[in-house]
Amino acid sequence: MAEGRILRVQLDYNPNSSSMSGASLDFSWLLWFALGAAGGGAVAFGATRPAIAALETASYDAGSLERERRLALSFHVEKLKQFPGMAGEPGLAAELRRIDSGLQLSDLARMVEEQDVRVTMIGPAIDAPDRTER
Amino acid sequence: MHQHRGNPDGGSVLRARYESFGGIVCWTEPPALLHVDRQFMRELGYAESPLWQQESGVLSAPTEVHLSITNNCPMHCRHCYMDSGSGADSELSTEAIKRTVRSMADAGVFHVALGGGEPFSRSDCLEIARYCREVGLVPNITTNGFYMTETLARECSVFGQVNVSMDAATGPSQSVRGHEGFAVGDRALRLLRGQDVSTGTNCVLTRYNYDHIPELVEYASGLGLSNILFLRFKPSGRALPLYGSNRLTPEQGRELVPLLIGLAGKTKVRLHVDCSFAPLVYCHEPDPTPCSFLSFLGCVAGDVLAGVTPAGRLNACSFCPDDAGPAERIGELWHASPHFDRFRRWPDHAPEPCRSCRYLQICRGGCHVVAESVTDDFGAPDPECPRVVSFATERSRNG
Repeated sequence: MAEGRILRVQLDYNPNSSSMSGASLDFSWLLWFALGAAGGGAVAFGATRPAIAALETASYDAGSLERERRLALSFHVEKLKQFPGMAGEPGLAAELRRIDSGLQLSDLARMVEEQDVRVTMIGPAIDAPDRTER
Repeated sequence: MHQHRGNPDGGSVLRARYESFGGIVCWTEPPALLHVDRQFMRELGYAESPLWQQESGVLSAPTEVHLSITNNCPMHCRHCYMDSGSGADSELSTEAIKRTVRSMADAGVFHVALGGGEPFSRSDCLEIARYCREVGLVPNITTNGFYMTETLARECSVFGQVNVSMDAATGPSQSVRGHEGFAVGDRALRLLRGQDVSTGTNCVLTRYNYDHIPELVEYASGLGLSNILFLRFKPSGRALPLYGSNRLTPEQGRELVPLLIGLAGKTKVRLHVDCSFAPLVYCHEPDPTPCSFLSFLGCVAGDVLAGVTPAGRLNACSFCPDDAGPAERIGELWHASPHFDRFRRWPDHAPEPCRSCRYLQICRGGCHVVAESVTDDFGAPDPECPRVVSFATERSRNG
């Protein structure tokens, strides 16, 4: 039986402290990938439970990222410092390795520490094929 | 609506509701509303639903309702889209508002954003918020901060989030609002942050405060605010005659997204724009697939959003001048009223240049309230969309 899929995400919502943004667009993630504006193709990761991440991670690639064999993944950057660094979060680190995003874990760890952001995973989510192998 | 279902994989579903495609689950960690397919619902342990025998492009209910509980407001901002000032006799009683809230919960709504007028001008505002919690809805509120006290700020923990309207960090707010509202908003924000209430600010963007966006972001960052929601200047209420002279210039419109992206990279404050800004986002040609997946969408009226007026009338968006009927009948009207259909079906009848635009299904033609107000035609494309402007210019040039 096929695995269940996420069709659409309203990431702005917090079940207990909604950011009142049901009708708004959040630049926190747009910054990172939709416009490819983050340092020539930075990668960040969306968030969800391990089981969702255990499904294949949705991948999107912009031209420049594809040439560099990097993936632009769906992601969400929260401003909570949930993860002080990749080394301290083995489950997440394992997921990142599995994804083989082409981005070094040390880069991500530095990003997490320097920007005080939470980086978690999301996926798979859409009908688009996984482009990891291309 | 189902509540508090644990999940062996670590996350948990706070609430969920069925949809024809599967369901919408309110995820606790990370915080998100996930639209999932039927198989995903089965994997979460939900039984088959009769809804799964249907094919429908319309959600079973909005996920969020903007509930305006009064037209009363002491601030009299000259750009108020509600033309707020004095309360009206037609405003709902406490019990009527509770019935409306109950009907929203029964329909499957997740969040209610209380607004006005100034919602705290009603003495029952907190009672309404607590009732929202009682029936399983997350109440949020937008306030100008006029009535904020330390005691009230403490009580505001009932809200998921409190957003204080503030159109600039300092002086320029006067040019937008017609009075100096900064001190009022600033005091409220500091009181709320003192109580550790999740707090943000709403900013109506005009050509006059546009250049001061970085200052507002810096101010919000300094106060530890969670977000800034930038709102487009809408030609409704008292703002109608001011629209032409206050709306962003075409140059500012094109520069807005790069500006916000640049600022978002330097702050922990989350920067949002409302859905009416979609044309100013898509003119930069981002990849449409992730935009769609992550609900980076244009007009969401009648999709995930509905509004309720102080008189209890249900509409697709709080800027919309007409309505579908009594909000207590939201469960029925959401599906039966043509009021919502015209928003949902706008892309089906889109004129050029929207019809041939690859962002049509996610931009949805921009803001239809703006378009209708400016052109008297609900079906017209958004007049501030750079692509629409270019199209009109080209057509004019070609006679």
